[in-house]
This record gives sequence, structure tokens and C-alpha cells, in this order.
Amino acid sequence: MVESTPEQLEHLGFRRLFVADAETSYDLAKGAVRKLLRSAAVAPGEIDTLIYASAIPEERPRRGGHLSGLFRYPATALQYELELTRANVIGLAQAGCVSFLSAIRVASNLLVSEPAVRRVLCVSADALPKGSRREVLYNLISDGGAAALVERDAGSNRIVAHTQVTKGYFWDPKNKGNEIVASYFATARHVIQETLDKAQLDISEIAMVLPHNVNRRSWDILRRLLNIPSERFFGGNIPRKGHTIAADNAINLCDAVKAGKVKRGDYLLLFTFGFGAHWACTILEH
Amino acid sequence: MATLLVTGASGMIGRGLLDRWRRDFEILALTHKSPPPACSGRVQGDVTQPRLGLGREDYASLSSRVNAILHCAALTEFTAMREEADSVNVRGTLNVLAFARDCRKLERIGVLSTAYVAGRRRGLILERELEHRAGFVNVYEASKYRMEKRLRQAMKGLPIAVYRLSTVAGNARTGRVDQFNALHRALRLFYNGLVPMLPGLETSKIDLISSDYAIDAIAHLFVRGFRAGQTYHIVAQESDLIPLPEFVDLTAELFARFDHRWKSRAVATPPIVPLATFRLLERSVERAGSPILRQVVRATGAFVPQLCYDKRFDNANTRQAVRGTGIAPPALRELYPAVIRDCLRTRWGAET
Repeated sequence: MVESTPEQLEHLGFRRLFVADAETSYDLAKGAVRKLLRSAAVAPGEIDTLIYASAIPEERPRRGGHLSGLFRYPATALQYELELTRANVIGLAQAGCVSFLSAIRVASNLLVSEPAVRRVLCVSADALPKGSRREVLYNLISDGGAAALVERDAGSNRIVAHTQVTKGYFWDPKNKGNEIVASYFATARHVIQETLDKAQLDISEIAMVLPHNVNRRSWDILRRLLNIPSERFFGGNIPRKGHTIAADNAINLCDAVKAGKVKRGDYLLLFTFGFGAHWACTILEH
Repeated sequence: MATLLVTGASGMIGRGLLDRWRRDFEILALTHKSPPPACSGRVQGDVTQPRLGLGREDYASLSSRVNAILHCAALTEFTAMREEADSVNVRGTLNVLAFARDCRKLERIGVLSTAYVAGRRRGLILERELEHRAGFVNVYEASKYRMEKRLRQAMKGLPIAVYRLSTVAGNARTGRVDQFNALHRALRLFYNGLVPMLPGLETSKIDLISSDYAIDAIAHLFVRGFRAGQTYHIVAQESDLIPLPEFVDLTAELFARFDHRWKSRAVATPPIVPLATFRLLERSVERAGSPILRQVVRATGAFVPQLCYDKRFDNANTRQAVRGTGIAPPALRELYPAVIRDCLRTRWGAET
């Protein structure tokens, strides 16, 4: 499952890994949505739109090789199974680790462009195929999912600004790994700075950075580039949970709230990079 | 006609000077390679060996003939081991000096060096200055520094002048790169989108010169303007120095101008970072990076950190010596686009 030694993984900041043995990414998505609806006390019928994001296509057996088996979508299956009866469904794919932040962005823009839409449920979940190797480009991949409700006049986590940059030249990570690493820091800094500019904030006004849980060394470098002090960086989940492809920022937000690390009115910065290649940053006001 | 012995005659500066002097000197090239065509003769030898690797008779014959020595031979690899660098740059020079002492008719010795013997010093660097405790960015700088210390000692008994060059980018007259060096290799990494960051200061300035200016200046300083005991900075004009951020942006602009596909690749301009940040990247890549990234970071780390030590080279001696000759460095903003165009045209020297 992993090729590196524990010492090498430790150097990169990873100690634990979560593998969905029996569950599929669909199961992870379903679990996240159920938990969200329960905690938000929202009835399934109150959801206007469901955005189902996944970086890796679901492995679903095609019955008898029938062509229609290609159209068995987990997004609509989830709508039916959880009785989100009013929700129309959008599937969001091919965005790698920025899938979740992309879903939030689409949801936010839907609320602006379609006045009838009041509540959008975003879910992102990924599980690597069974038996997969878990290391990619100096990162350790866990299976995981997250869900969020994007609604008008919400009581917390106001979306202040968002930026995404896509550089198609790097579309093939297998053959462009070195160039991706070389381009990563400069582009990350640019995307984060642009988001800060849109929000009219300075990095010193960000109360907490909620990262994607990629290797700790890269964050050490990026933090230096952006002057982010360690006390305003929520990096404890990197060793504890590993990198769940697209759900890290949301998981870190929940855990930071639970740990009392953020308070109402704090500005939070969520940043992630995804193969494709995409760099994305969102600033929230908690 | 005076007899000139040249070491390192096959290098860019050596070759250029020989072409210039073929009617003024009987030129002998001390080499273990084929001599350039401008030479009157070749002496099969090696500066790293005692007595320049010559037999007793050849040594005696040569030392009785030579009137002038131009010592260009050097190991310029930044990532060389200290022992390798010193064997050419320090011991090689000591061997040349020993030979010079045996030359009864010797009138002058010119030695090529680098402005970066200043190492990690900051601020204004004067030509007469040498000794410091600031340390060095790479083995090449350090070995040339040790070489110059020996030269300063030897100046008491020998007519020596030292020519310190900054970085040679290309030939302003032809618009071509005569010799691809560490600068061009770093630019190539940038072009290929493999440079994650540049260690440096926003205030640092890039000092590049053209090979034809270097050759013109040395040709004059060594022949008509020769003054024993002097050191000369052959560097860019102060008004021509380009601040590092502007240089990085200009380079990206030129890549895009001369190669339309480069623009579509959206290669990120490497951020200029403090040395500590670069060292963090270096350590991380050394420990976990791919072999290619390791090479990139090692190559960059071997000389780019010089840009963390903001300095300017005073060239009063050179300006004074070439006054009225018309010899002057070309405008860097005109030279540099030609250099980039030639790098792309020749695919970084792979094609001529």
C-alpha cells in the first residue's frame, strides 16, 4: 500500500492513513450528507440543489456489459436514496483535490444567479480503488468525504472570496510531476494573494489557514512564502488523517471549530491544489 | 615579435584574445587539447602538473622564449569538489607562477579571475580589495579567492595584473552565445518550468557582460594598458544593472516573445525568496524529491544564492584604463534579448 518507509512518511508529516475497506466513495458521501442534514436540522426536502463532486470515477459494475450501465450515476442515486426529492442534481468531476472548493463556488454562484435556489448541498467523497498504492507525489492518500450546506443568509462561514487557477499544461501528473512541483509554490502564492486582494484582507488578518493535508514540508515552505505563522495554521490533521483528496479543507474546518480554534467573525483561508492542474483558495468569515 | 604563452586557450575568452593578437604576438597555447587556429604553436602540457607537465628540455626552451603569459585556464564548475577546483585554480596558478619566475625575459602576466571572489560580501566591492571573512557561495568562488591571495603575494616579485569578470551572457556583436555556462543552464531550467523559487533579494541586481566587451577590455589592459600589480573589474555599467525581479519578469517576457508555445504552458515565474526558505526546499527535495528536482535544486543552489548578497562592483581602474579607447560594455537591455533568442534558436547550444 505504501512504498516509503515510516521514517520517510514521518519526514513528510504523515503518521496515519484511513482506508475505506468495505465502503465505497458513494457510502462515504452518503454518510457525510446524513450527518450534515442531522446536525443542521434540515429536512431532505428542503434541499434545492445537490452538487456531487468526486475526483475519481466511482467503480460500479456494469451489469452484463449493458451500455446503460455507464449511466448509473451516484449523484442521482444519492438524491433518491436520501429523499432529496426537490433537489436537482449537478455532478462535478475532473477537478481532483479542488472538487469540494469548486462545488462550493458553483453553489455560491447558483444562489446569486437563481433567486429561487435557497439551499445547495455540496458533497465530495473519494475512495481509491481497492488495493491501490496510497502515495502520490510526496503525499499519502486517505479515503474520505465531506458535505456542506450553502444557503442564503447563513449564520456562519460567509463566503467572502474565491479564486481558482487552472493550468492545463500540467494535465498529466504522471509525466509532469517535476514541473508541477516547480510550479506549485509560485502559483499557490499567486492564488492565495489574489483571493486576499479580492477580500481586501492582508494575510495577517486571517485567523486560521485550513489547509489541504499535503506533505508538511511543502506547507512549511508555502507558509514562509506567505508569512503564515504556525499558530495560525491548522496542520495537526496532516499526521492524524492524511490527505483525503478533496475533503481536507472541510474536515479541518469542522475539527478547528470543535477544537475551539476559531471564533465567530474570524476570517478563515482554505487552500488546495488538485491534479488537472488546479489551484483554489476560498476565504470564509466564520 | 614577443612570445605569449596562453593557458586555457580553448575557452571563450582565450579564443577571442588569440584571434585579436595573432599579428601582435607569437602565440603558444599550453594545452592538453587541440589548440585554436590562431596559435603559432602548441605546447603539450598541463597546468596542474609541476613544471606544467613539460619535460626538462621543453621547459627550459619555453621559459627562455616567453615574454608574456595570459593565464585563462580554470575549473569553472560551481559544484566541483574543493580538491578538483583547487588543483586547477590554485595549484595550476602556482605552477604558472613558478614557470614565470623561470622566464628570464618575462614582461607581464595576466590572470583571469571572477568578480565573485567577493563571495558573500555585500555593498560596494573595490578592485583593490580582496581579503574578507564573509565566506563563499560555491567552491569556484572560494578557489579563485585562494588563487588571488597567492597572486597578491607573488605580485611583489612578478608583473601580474588580474582581470575579474562578472557573468558573460553572450556576444553583443554577433547576438550569439559563444559559450553556454551556468547562467544559461539556469535559464534553461526556468524555460522548462523546473525552477520552484529563486534565492535572492528584491534589491539585488544582475550584472551581465558580453564576451566581446570582456575580450576588448582584456586585450587593451594586457597590451597597451598593462600595469603590474593592478586588479580590474570587467563588469556591467552601474546604470545597466537590472534589478532581480525585473530580470525574472523580463526573462519570462522574452521566452513568451520568442516562443509562442511557452506562453500557453503558463510557467509560473519563480518567486524570489530568502535563503532560509530556499534551504528548506533544498532539504526537502534532497530527502524526498525526484532525481530531476534534486539536480535542479543543486544546480540552482550552486550559484543563485549569490543574489542574496546584494553587491556592486566598482570598476574605477577599468574605466580609467580604457578611457578614450571606445571600449565600453554594451547596453544589457539590448544584449539580453539577443542572448535569449539565441538560446532558443540553438536549443540551448544543442544546435548551431
